[in-house]
Amino acid sequence: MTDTLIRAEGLGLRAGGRTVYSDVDLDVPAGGTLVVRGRAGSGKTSLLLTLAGRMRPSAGTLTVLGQTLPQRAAAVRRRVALAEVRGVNELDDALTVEQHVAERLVLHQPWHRPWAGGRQVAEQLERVEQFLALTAEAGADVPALRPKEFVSDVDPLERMVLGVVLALIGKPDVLVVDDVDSLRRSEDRRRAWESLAALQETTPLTVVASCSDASDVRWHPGDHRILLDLPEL
Amino acid sequence: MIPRFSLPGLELARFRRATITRLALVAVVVVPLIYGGLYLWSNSDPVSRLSNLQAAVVNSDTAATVTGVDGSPRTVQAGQDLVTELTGPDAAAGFSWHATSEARAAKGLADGEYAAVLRIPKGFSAALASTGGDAPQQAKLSVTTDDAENYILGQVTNTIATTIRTKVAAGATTDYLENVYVAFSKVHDSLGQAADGAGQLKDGATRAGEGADSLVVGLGDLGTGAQRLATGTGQLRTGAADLASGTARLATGADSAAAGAGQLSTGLGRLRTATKDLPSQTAQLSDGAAQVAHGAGQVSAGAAAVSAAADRLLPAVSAAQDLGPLVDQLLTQTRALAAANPGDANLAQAVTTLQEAQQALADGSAAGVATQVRQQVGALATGAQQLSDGASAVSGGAKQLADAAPALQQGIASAADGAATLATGTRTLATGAHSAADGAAALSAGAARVDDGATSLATGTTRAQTGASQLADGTKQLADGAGTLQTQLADGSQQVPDYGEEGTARAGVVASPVAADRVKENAVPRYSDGLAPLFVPVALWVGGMVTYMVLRAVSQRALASTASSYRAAVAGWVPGALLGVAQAVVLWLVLFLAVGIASPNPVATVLFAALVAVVFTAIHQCLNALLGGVGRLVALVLLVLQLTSAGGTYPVGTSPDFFGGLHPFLPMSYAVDGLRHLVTGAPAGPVWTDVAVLLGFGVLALGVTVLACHRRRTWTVAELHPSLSL
Repeated sequence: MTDTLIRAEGLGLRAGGRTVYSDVDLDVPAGGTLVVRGRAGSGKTSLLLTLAGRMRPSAGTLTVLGQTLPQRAAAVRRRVALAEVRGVNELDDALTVEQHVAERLVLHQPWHRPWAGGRQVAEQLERVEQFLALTAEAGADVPALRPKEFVSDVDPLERMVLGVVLALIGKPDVLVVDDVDSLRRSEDRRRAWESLAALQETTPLTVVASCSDASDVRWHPGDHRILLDLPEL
Repeated sequence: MIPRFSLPGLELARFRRATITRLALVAVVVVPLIYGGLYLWSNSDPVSRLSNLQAAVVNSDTAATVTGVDGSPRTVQAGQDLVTELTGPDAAAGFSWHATSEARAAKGLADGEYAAVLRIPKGFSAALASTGGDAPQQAKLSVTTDDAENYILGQVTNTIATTIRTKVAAGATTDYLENVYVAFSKVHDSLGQAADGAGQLKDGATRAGEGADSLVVGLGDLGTGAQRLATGTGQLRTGAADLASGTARLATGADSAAAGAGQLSTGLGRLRTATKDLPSQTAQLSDGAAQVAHGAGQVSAGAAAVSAAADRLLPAVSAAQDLGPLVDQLLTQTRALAAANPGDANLAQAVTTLQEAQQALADGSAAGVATQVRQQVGALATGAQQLSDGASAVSGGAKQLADAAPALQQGIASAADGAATLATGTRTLATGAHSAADGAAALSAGAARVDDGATSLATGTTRAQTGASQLADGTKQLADGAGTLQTQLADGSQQVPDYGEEGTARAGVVASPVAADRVKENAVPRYSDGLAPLFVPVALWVGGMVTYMVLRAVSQRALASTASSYRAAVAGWVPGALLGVAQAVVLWLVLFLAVGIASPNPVATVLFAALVAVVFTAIHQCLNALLGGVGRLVALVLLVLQLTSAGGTYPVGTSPDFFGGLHPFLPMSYAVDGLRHLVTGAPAGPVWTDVAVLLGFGVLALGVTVLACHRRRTWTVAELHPSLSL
């Protein structure tokens, strides 16, 4: 659990004559959590995509899962999953919850199984429900996720958890969750962080998350949480 | 159905939420239909609709008079005939023709009412009639069109005018020529019939000659036979005479036999009467003999008893011998007493008896007598026995005789009856023999007459044979003559031409010696059927472009996921391919059912079009995945290049080399080629090549799409924040 999973030295990205981020040094152990904190426009999403092998850095060295980036980006991409990232893999407002689950299931199935069964879909929805229940206050009412509801109508926290569960369908080693602060309610943000912590207790998973305000993060003593502040450039 | 939770199902599900997006999908499916269907519909059969166009015919012709083949005058009004033909109900001369005045025709052509004007000149009939006369002239028709109205129409009108001109020219000369050919044919036919008759005569005479030959041979055989018959009847005559005398003798003999048989019958009758008591007499004989045998038996028994008594006498004789001395003493004493008393007779008698006894005793005769007695008694017994035996034998024989006597008597009776019958029979025989003798005499007379006839026959057949030989020679000469006649008639007939049924056709050929038939292999019935193989692929190409304007070439979520690029590429292609198949099927259904385009292989045509659609969507997805919005522009340029180089209307060889060089490298060339083969029903071999090449294009496009997907899995800051002006 203490193996270094992500290591960056002097990592930087310049695009269009502008520095997106620079001089990022990281050393994230396996099973740890990296919380990237920065204001809007500070390059959080770009850094997360870079760590996920989905954006090429312009400076520094980066090793993820023992693979050197950007040369081995394809191998890294197969093991690093993205929860919903705005502008990259947004959920489709015209599709329902269960359709999104089915889509992701089919993408990860071999070619000779071109469709997903209703039971497979239900299992994944159950998983979403478990996450939500896990982080709810005792006695609080956890509304059931309606499978046939369009994602545009789904509660923001539920939508985030759905994005996480969809990412987990590919059984990744690293999970990337962008912009937890997009959840407006403080309670939702707290539950989101809690659910990620709870997830790591049951699954050998390294989490990379971003936020603009880390005040909702409950820091547990002895956990492998690293806070990285991105200065606004 | 597409499974609900499959990638194509999910991709299409995106459009289910709102009515407008659903309509967008429907629009995608019908875009090729609108594009290809409307075009092909409007061009479905322009030539057959030429009759919707009006045309004027102006007749300035006057009738002409000509002399026909048979010498009778005939009126020719070819101009009027042509007008009638063009404006008649069955006219098939392209346009709808109207007979009008020159002024109206000129005005109509100028203001576009008439597409063409046909002018028949004044001397048209006379010129046509002159072709059969001494100074033939050319008849001239004139057709006017206005290119200012329509260029293509001018071309079409030229073709129609040529057709009319040819028809008229051919019709005028055909009449004349037909008569000539008919006359020839009649002469030819008559000569042929004469030759046939001579041939039949020859055949008949030949057969008659053969018959006469047979007759000669037959009469020869008949003569020989008649000779043998005469010989035979001679023998018959002699034999019949012999038979007559023989039967006469037989009659005499039969009479004698009848007499003898009568006597035999009488004799046997008497014997029958004589033997009537024989059985009873022999029975009495038998009884008598039995009684004799019985008596002899008793004698024999008596003799045997005597013999036994004699046996007992012998000892007594011996005892008497012993009495001798006593008798001698007695005699001396009796004698001394008889001497002392010479007067006593008893003493004297006693002395004599005693003397005899002494005598008898002395000579011994007493013993001899006993022996003789015994011997004679034995002989007597033996004789009696023999008598008894003989009588018994006689009795047995008499008994047998008595037994046999009735059979004997019966046999004699039968013999007597038989003799009576024999007598009757021989009398009948005698009568018959007399009849036979009479018949034989008659036969003898008849045989004599037959013999005379047979001799006459032999003589007659010899004369007939001679006559038949002369007949055979005569018929052979007749056959030879008929054969020569037939050969010469046939030769003559050959030299006269025969046009028979084809006379009319031949007249047509000579009247219009050059005719061109248009032979089109795998002909399509209409213009639109010929255009469909081009416009269906064009429509499907446009359909593919529209499909990926509506669908995303590759899902961003798929690219961002950890799934393979191959899965992401296929996930984007399959929904488009399904829409493409729907486009092809809908398009062809409408073309088949509504526009009326036909194909001998409708199923194969639709399947091939579906393959084309699937391959085209793969190409469009590839262009979109690789180039994004620019890809659609490239697709549009490719459409224009393919339209010009696919050889859909004119063969690509008629285009500049640039298009010919491009032709093999663009998928639509193969789509057009394959559909053209399927719609026209040409051999399917090249279609498989087209299928293979199209599949190759599809696989290539998918491969490039996978590479494009792989590349697009890395984002740039520009993509992430397109709003930022970079």
